[in-house]
Amino acid sequence: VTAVAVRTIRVFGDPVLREPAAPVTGVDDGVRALVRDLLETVAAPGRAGLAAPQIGVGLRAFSYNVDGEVGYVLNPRITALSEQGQDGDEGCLSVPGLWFPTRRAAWARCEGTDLDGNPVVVEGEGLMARCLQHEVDHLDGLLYLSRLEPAVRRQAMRAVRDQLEVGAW
Amino acid sequence: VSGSTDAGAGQRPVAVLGLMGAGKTTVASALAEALGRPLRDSDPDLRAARGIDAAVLAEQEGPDALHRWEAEHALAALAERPPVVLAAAASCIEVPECRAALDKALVLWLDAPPAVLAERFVSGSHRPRFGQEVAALVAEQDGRRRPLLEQVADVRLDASAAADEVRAAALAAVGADR
Repeated sequence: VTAVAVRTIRVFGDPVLREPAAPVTGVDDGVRALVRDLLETVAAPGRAGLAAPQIGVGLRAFSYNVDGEVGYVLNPRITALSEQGQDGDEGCLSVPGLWFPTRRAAWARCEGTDLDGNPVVVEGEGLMARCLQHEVDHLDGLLYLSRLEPAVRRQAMRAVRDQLEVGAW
Repeated sequence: VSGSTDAGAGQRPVAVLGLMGAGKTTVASALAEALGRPLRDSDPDLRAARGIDAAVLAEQEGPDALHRWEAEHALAALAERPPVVLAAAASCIEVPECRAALDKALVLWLDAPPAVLAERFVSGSHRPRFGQEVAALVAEQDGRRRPLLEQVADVRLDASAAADEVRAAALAAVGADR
């Protein structure tokens, strides 16, 4: 029996966000439910991507919702990045209410599998490239805050401090 | 000017309390300087003790660990002799042990309407893009903490006044204006 789980978004400071996620080694009902929840949760407006640790599951899986393109990848790996970079604000459901300029590769390719074990390739530029890099970072226990330029990171951590102080999270 | 014997700080620690943005650090620094006492302030003291920012502690060990640090910091500061001036972290007021320790201190409460604090919060340059909900959060926090602050405060100062006035009122309250 698969219970309908309410998957709350884990927020900054939750240990599950700092731990490298484990590979998906077999597809069972739990993994199928995880994918369903990742897809349902990422469908909300304003969401571009969601990694399993963000809903409390330490498995290598994420979903994306970029320009109408919705999908998921199990055991994703970034297999190619452009040398050219992009600048732009990045945010994270687990660091709610904040956005900071974050440099990423302009284009990225991500490879993994689907629930049937078939190979999956997702690639793109702009927001898709940013999303792929951001979500795979989550699976390595990294928040985008770790990717910020030192001066921006200091500013970000002050903003985080304020959020904690005001009880926002 | 009050001539009573319990006016001023005497040998008591001085604790400055209030919600975020009330100006605790600014006032506590001025008091420490005027009284010639050490200043204890949670965030700088955390950096000095462990080399990390408060947000990094929360990231690595969780927000509860940060609040524990803040409470332990306040308790240690209030127990120090000779007495110090403490800028108490806003969360301390919700910790019963801290309230008990504050009973023996001269407690200055920097009080400002939640709307004023929320406005300061939002207009700070490093506080991007989350305006509306902040006012509600601060109001909720104010509702929860105000009765506790009323319990422990010896002096309530209007922290929505100009910084100079707040400072002068605080100095008078600890007897450092004489």
